[in-house]
Amino acid sequence: MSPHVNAAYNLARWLTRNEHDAEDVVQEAMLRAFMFFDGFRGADARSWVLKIVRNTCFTWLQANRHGEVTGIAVDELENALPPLFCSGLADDPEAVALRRTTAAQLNDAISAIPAPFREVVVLREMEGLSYKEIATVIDAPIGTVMSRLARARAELRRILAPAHCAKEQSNDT
Amino acid sequence: MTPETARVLLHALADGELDAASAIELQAEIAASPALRQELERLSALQSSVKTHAARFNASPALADRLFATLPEPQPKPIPTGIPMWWRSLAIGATATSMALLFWSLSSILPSRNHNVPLLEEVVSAHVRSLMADHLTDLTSGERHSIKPWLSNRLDFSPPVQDLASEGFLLIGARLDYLDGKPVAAIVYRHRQHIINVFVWPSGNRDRPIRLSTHRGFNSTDFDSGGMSYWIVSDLNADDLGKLTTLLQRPPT
Repeated sequence: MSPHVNAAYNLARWLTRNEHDAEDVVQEAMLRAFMFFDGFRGADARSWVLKIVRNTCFTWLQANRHGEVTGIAVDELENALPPLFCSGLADDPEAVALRRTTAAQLNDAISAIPAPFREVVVLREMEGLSYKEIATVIDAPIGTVMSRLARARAELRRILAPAHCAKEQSNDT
Repeated sequence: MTPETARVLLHALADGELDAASAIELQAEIAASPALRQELERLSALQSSVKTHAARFNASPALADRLFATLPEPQPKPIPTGIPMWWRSLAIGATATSMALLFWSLSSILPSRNHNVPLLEEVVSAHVRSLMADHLTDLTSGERHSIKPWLSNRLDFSPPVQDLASEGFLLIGARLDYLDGKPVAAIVYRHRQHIINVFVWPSGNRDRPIRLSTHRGFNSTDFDSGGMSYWIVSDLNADDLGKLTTLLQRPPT
């Protein structure tokens, strides 16, 4: 499972948002992965390792960072997406702003969104997992993976291009 | 399709995860709705920023060392001297018992269908080494017409190299490796983020159908065809690995 150490560490680093905590979590998770190895019958070792890392992270967050959101109420997902504005412009200002985002802004934005949204972004955009693999890691149906990604990206947009949302909202009223 | 559904499905479309029928339906919705087109544009703007800028943190070498040091190894603890003889023999007995238990549990990890375990182990180790040592390819190229001559110039055989990009398996390069006591060709493909090593060498074996094995969490397939032995290994799921193997065994015409 050693080639998955980087993927494991990246996920833990993003979920704990701290280097040392991430190392501790990965070490614990890898030991658990090793102990439960004969319980592993699946085909995809990476998803399986990431699932253990993810669960270890959430347990750790609950124990050590009481303020952190690790679960999402279902009704919160109902009004998941930001209002849809239609400026009809060829150079949509929000799209332009999103493309011009700096690395620091983007990484801060990913850090700022709740852990259940952050993890799907990390798994999809950084680790390149398929929806099916993400569903295995977070132990949720594929539909949930899809709506959570949509919500996570909506949150990122809200943080990265707030000016445009506000402006359009005021134009709208 | 409700507008809300369409907006969530846009993500699946952008991620290449939508089935063909829904994709066609959604494309029609997008064509009719400037708002959806704009949403898709914003989504792809965000995705390209994330792909360009998001930090991917790698484990420090110290962490990797720590992990290897903590993971249990099948080694008995040295028995301290200065302990009465009867106690020491008891300790040796206990160590032997725990060793036996450990080997028993390790062997139970391996599926029973692994007929060729030493070679399978060698192949999986070669795959892991190629990922860890940052030495995946000697020649990085997606062009089979440059990979094939490169390999045949360095080996005393000419392994078949196929471009399977249309099937989702990107050719990313090749490398020389050493397996079963001989130099072999390692042709490297990528499927999503999964790296796949295809080891090929002339064995003179009779044609043999595909066999699937699992070792240390990696999937491996192997077969013989045209006097060549093929071993394919990856952390890819068994279905996709099987698909690639079938393509390698029966090249698309």
